[in-house]
Amino acid sequence: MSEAERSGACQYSWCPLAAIGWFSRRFEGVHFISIGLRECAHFVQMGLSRRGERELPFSLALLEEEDIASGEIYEPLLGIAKEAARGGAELIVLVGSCAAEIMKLDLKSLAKRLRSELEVEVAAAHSSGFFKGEGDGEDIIISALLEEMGGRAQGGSGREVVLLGSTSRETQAVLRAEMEALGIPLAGFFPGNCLSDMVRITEESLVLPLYPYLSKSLRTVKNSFGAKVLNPPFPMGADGCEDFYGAIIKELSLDPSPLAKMADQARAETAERAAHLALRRMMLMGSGLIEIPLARTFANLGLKVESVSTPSLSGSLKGELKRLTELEVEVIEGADLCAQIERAKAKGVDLVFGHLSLAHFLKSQGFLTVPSAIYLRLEMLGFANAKNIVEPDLYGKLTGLALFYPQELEKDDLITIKGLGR
Amino acid sequence: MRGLKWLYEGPASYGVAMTAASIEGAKTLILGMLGDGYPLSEIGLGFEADSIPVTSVGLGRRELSFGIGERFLSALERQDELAQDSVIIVAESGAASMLKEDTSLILEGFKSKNRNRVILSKAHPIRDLEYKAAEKTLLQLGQELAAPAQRSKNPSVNIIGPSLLGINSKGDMRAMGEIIGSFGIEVNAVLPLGATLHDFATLPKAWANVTTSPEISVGLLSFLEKEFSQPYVSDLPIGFEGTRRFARGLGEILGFESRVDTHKADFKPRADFRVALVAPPELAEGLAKFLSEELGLKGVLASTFLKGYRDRFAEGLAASGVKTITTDDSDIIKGEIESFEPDLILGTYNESMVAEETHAAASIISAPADRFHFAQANISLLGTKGAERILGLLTRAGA
Repeated sequence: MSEAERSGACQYSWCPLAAIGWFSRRFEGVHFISIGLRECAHFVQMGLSRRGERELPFSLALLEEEDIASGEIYEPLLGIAKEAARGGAELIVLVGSCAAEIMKLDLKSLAKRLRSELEVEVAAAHSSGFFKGEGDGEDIIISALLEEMGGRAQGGSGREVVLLGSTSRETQAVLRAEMEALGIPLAGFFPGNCLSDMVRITEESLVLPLYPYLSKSLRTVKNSFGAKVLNPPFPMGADGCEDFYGAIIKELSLDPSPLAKMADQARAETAERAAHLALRRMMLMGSGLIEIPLARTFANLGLKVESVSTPSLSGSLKGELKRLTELEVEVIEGADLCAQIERAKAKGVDLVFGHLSLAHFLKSQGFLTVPSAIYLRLEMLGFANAKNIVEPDLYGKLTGLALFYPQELEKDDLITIKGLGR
Repeated sequence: MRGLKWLYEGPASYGVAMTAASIEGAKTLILGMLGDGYPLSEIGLGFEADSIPVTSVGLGRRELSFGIGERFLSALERQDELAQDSVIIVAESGAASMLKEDTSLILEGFKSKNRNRVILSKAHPIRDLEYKAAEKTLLQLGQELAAPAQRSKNPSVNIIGPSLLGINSKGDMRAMGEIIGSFGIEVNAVLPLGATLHDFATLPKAWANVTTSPEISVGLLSFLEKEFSQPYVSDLPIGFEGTRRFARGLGEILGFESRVDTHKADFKPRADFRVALVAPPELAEGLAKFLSEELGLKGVLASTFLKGYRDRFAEGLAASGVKTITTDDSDIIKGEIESFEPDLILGTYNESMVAEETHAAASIISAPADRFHFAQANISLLGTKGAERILGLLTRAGA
């Protein structure tokens, strides 16, 4: 990938286990069993326990020294899975870990045994901290669901579009309505919002990923189902949606005329906020891959995007990287975070898009900081949601997260002078 | 394998990282995988960190195949380059320890050319848990840094124990400082929270040591007593009588007569009022004694999750008639609380959720809790002011 510079040090991202958080909000009836050491269990607990739900969508299967020595975990795992099933889980996902990978635990076999004994769907997601970013967690879960259930799902016949990636019902409604207005035949979403929602993928399906971190799932779509995959820019921002829908329209030889009007309307809705943001010099310090399409959107909105870094790049980003090259945005793979901060200071960057864990630190360095985690939960796909990308909620009412700002600035100043927040 | 819904203690690497991050000039390098840097999340979100105190070596599949040496060394070199006059503590994560690679040779080779002092944590990555790892880290730093020194001119003490691990650490630090100050005694050093490496070096100047968190301090307290003849008081000043007991203990060591007021609890709770406690053993024991012995409550359930303290915890409360439980199984604790039917629950975040289900009043008095509770907490239960706060909690709960 010649568009990117490679660095390879001092990165920071969350373990892919973090995906349990947003995935379980979008898929009803799922229960994750995290099989790992205390590090894994504590990470999941500290990240997700504050949701305040009585029945949490995860259990912690803690490996102890005797398990590591023997590798025999089926019986205790069965007990944990039974309890999850009693709690109403329709789908149990066994989630691996670094320890499970080192032990070479065969999660697929365990899932198969559990499925036959419990009569609920069980999938095995070989996740671990060896992966480079939190987005990888969703990729691993979806590819596991594709392998286990993709062939048994319903619907999806003929030359129809399947959208790949976890989505809320609200986002699905937006995308469905826009595709209908454009005359695009939509088979559905994979994985949808529950087991009965899962759409079947066939050789005739036209599959498009909604997020940039789904490379493993896309391989499964191609290799196991023989479906055609398109990799245009992602439907984030008016520019991304125009490219995204435009690629489908071209592929299916549909009438392109309604598209420009929809794009213009979305641009008009974001214009005021974009004008404020256009004063900014921005740097995106990535912890997953979501930063790549967002960098493209921000650059197209007129911000001076100095660079975007990300732990790793994948083939599904080809379209996005081409756009970033055209926009003269530097892309760095595996960036050294400390070096990036120095570079941001040297270039006079004032707005940083960075990892939530580093938000206080970035703030202390004088940067107005937008935590990237906001965008893992934000409704931002489709023309109708394009405005949300430039309106991160200052007080965290929608996202549970706040925009971090340098201490010397008052919130009111930010709202009135800097044009950020509501 | 254990199926758990709630962990009371984090892993060893977390205990090391949170202890080291409490200290100015100490950095933690977690010898772990790419996804093992999560202690930084807790520090970064819960506290206004203006530096990056924890980094992970970031082992990936390449290292799984070809060995960790090259990556570990380059991470050490980078950390050494970024830090100045610091101590870098290397802590293995549980999964990294399963690779069974000998890192001592790399560390020995590195030590000859580094700018900063590098220490390999003695905490066992799997067997030790958060509190034990924190205790070992404090001890290790004390052993590395404390240097013989003349005693201060006036009587002084070190306050050992406040750290990022404790939910009320800042409040405890202030409360203990006030108690010590009320005796006319100086505070030589407070650690690890907010301490510098120099504070560790000058620990032996104090005449004695006190603690706000005995569970993570006992190793260092014993070491300082043995190596520098510094006696210590390990009791926590909880309740009016507990505070007097603490003062008497310190007075005996330092040769002063306790001048703590003779204030007594004039609050008489309802006879049928019931309180359930879940906390580290010394805090749970102190609170249970205050409630049962000073306030005369018959219905007190005291629970601790540090299993190593089982016998001592039970013995400590045997005379008070308090029912004790020592377990780290949240289901057992939940079951016991539900059958006990308390009016007030003082525990971790988990028990605050149990309280929601049982409609009891609740207050979070111990980690683990959500990182945002740390920012809101820091209300100490130590000393006479702490005792008044406990009475306030009881009053608000309808006692």
